[in-house]
Amino acid sequence: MKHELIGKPDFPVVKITLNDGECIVAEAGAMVSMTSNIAIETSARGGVMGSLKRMVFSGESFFQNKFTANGGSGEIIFAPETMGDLHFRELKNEALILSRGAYVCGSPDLKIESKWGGFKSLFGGEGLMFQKIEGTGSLFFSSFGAIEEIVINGEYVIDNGHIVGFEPSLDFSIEKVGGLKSLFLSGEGFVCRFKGHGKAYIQTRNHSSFAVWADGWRKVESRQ
Amino acid sequence: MKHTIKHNPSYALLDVELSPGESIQAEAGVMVYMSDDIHINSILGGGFLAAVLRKILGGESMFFNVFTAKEKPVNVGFAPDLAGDIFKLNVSDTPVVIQKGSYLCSETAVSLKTRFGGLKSFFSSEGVFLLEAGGSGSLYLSSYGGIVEVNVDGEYILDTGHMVAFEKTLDFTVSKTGGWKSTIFSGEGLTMRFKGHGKLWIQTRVPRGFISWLMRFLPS
Amino acid sequence: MKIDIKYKPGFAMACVTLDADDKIRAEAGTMVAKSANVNMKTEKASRGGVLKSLKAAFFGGESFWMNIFSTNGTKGEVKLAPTLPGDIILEELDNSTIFVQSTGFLGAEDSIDIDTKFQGLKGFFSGESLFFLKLSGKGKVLLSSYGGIEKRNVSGSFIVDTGHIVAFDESLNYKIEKFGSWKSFLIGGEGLVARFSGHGNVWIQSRNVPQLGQWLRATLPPKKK
Repeated sequence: MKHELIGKPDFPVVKITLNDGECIVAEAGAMVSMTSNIAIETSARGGVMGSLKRMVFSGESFFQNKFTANGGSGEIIFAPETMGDLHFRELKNEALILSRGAYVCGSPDLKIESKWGGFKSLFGGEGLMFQKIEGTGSLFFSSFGAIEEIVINGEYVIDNGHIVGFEPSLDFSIEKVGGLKSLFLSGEGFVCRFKGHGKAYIQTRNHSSFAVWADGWRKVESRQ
Repeated sequence: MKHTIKHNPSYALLDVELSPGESIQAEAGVMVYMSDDIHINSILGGGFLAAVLRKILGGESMFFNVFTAKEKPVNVGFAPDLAGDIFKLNVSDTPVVIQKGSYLCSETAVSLKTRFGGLKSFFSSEGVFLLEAGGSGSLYLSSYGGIVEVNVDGEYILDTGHMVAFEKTLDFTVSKTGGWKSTIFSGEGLTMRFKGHGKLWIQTRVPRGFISWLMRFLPS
Repeated sequence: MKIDIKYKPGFAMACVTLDADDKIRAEAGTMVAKSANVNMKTEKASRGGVLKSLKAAFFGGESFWMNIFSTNGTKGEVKLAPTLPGDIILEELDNSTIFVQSTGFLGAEDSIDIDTKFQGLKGFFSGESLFFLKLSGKGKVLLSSYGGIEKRNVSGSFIVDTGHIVAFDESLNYKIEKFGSWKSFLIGGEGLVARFSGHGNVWIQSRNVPQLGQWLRATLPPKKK
């Protein structure tokens, strides 16, 4: 399997070349285009309960698609739904925690599990459930805006709406920023204070703030 | 006519410099700025019937604005509604078929014809309405997201929402992706299967994809 | 204070390095991340009384409150980004004044004075909130745009679609008028435009904020009330 990221950093897609018999798994709806020798198989990976959990808590699709090249090599292009970057990481028998909806596609050997963020994230209002991606293989994940990799050594504070993912070696706590007045008036809501040593990925736009802005434009229908 | 594409690829803006006597025709509503002494004429696109059809089927405006330089050279800036890139095609011998909404502007020597995509494309939300650009001259198209050029030689499969334009030497059919289960559950909807030899331009994002992503985060 | 703008032009983010006595005021809700030694305090947007802030919030379309970031004596960093996708530009005001459209303000050094200019009745016709914040003084100002940002020097007269204006120098005059002839105004799909005249800079964004809003309005399912 070979890959090429085209059009980084604003609206990239990933072009994947599969050898005969090789396959890749992707979120429903991520396929842009492909050569005609690629077969698509749709299934609820991880069983019905696992898929349901993934859909309800992690904002992922219930069904995932498996694309396999038949009779020679094949080429397929994937894109995330949102505006922003696409990041590649090769996992080597390790895990990465991703926020809601960040997973785009990856090797079929990677295990995707919805992870309860604990009560502490209840207050954050976002990413109640994270996804834990574990194993060995290629992983592609997306962000709203650009992705910045931050190596944390000690303490670092990130707004909840800007977290894309982090390594499980980091510990975090949800807290408010500033004083009590700031809690209600600053528009910042809750932040994550990371502690320890490891990498965190942040996105340069906040999906929650954007959603609130977009919500302001929605039509209002009175209930009958 | 001189042109510059700026702020690409994500929020491209096209700046056109017109010499006296030169004109450019643009989709209604895409003007960003212009010099003071430019002449504007608003015309029906491709004849009355085609314009009405365009309005009904494509949801596009019925009108184009034609910007003309009078005595002095003038500048006019154009940008599409949504995020994305702008690219230039030179239309000459091979006509180009364009997805609704991707047309930005063109030289007046480029002819635009409404092309009904046929019943087959009715089943997909896009591609119902296509424009065919013929004649000769510069044509500027916009994409939602980036733009990827694919040289098709044989067969190629494309999600309908990602189609921007293709050379008329290519033919397409609309079909389902994989088996019936995949069609219903895969989230891929219908795909276009292109056959022949020619260029195909695809956009790296789909507006409805962004909307369905956004809907997950809307306050309840 | 050092400001480094990264990820231009699509999804720009301003990385502000604060020294011991530096303070930066930012639009509410724009903090992305900060080092643990940076403190945030929430204050009224305009100095000089509640009334002035109320005016800024009501007419400027801005939040009533702004956040002030400072360090506890050591070097610290705060990262800022606006809500909408697009670019950020850094301008240095040197005892000068600019008017910034409501969505175009991201942050400013503490030495900059922020006030609201009520744009007047003429803005109402465009159906867009043509309200401007008046920034004056000496120091750094961060402007944000939906899409790319372009600084254009006007000498004479120049026409800009109202939804594409980010900011303009105080030295420029402007007038809201129809696009072209009556026919073009009615069927040309452009609506109202702003005619700037005089000498000075106008900052233009490559996408139109009300157009994005209208698209969301047309595509998103309605809210139940």
